[in-house]
Amino acid sequence: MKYRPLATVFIIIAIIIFPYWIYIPALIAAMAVLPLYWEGIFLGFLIDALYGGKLNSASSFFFSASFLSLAGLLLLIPIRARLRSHV
Amino acid sequence: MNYLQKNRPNRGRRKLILFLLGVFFIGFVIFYFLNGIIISAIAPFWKTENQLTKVLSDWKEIWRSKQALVSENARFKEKISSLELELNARPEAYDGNDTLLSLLGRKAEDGGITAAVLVRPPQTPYDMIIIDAGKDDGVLADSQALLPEGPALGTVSEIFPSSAKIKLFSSAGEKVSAVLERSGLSIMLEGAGGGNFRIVVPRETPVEKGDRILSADIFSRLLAVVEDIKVEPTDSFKEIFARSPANLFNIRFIVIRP
Repeated sequence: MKYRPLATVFIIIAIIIFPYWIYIPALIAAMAVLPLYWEGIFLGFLIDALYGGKLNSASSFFFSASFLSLAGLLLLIPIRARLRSHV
Repeated sequence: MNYLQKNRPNRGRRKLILFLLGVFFIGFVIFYFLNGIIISAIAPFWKTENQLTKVLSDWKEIWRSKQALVSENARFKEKISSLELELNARPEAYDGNDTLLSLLGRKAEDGGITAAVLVRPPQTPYDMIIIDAGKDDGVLADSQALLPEGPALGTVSEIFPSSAKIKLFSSAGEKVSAVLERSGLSIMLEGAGGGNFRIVVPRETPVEKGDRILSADIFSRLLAVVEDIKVEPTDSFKEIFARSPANLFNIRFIVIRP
């Protein structure tokens, strides 16, 4: 349970300091590893707020980090339900 | 007797989906209103980070003489490429251009607001730059962002009190009118991300690697340089790949002109 806040803090710092090829894989990894990592949506919004432009078209909305985080989490729900963590 | 199991309503999954949609909606509302505040709060941190990076690199040079020479060499190389860029960006018929401008009642622009770059790619995933000048410094929305050497980079997309976001022409999907210098053909330069551009022109259009692509406005500023040309034998068009003349990953200063 302690990993969640730690991961969130690390990703926030990475978003502010590091290049995108560090914080985006870290965000994807957190979403995949931690159960229902809804904080990922807020982190996506943080990326958009800091580095994104105005949402002036449907394509810019669908390719925003926040929407992609939401889509990723929604896709992970059925995948996670089918995964077995035991033999 | 065996009965097939009916599909379960799966309420748990539906609840999760609704929860995530709710989080998305709340996030959208919060970040829509706090956008400027977040940037203004983090901008001083970026400034400090830039200063610290500079101080640390200077400090390193004192202790590492070889390293100092290497970095000095790198600085000189950067200076040479900057001067080359300035030379490339200079229109060929300079006097003629001035005469044309005076005939049209326009003046060549000088000055502008010089700003330091706080954040640049690859820290920004989209081709965006954040500068340390904003509304308080006289930066206006849709102003042009240029390199000090002359080439145009993008336009100011959002302004905050002491910072501003610049959307580069090379942002994916961004389109800007331009002219191929060799043929004088008007084209639509399409951003492909990472300082790259893509253009489609008729097959017969004369283009060569290294050709300059200029802005379609009266100032004919350098926008990109042709890097590669792709032609399929069966196509009636050819695809041109161009690159921004500036290295986006180490831009330090920018000039904003209305």
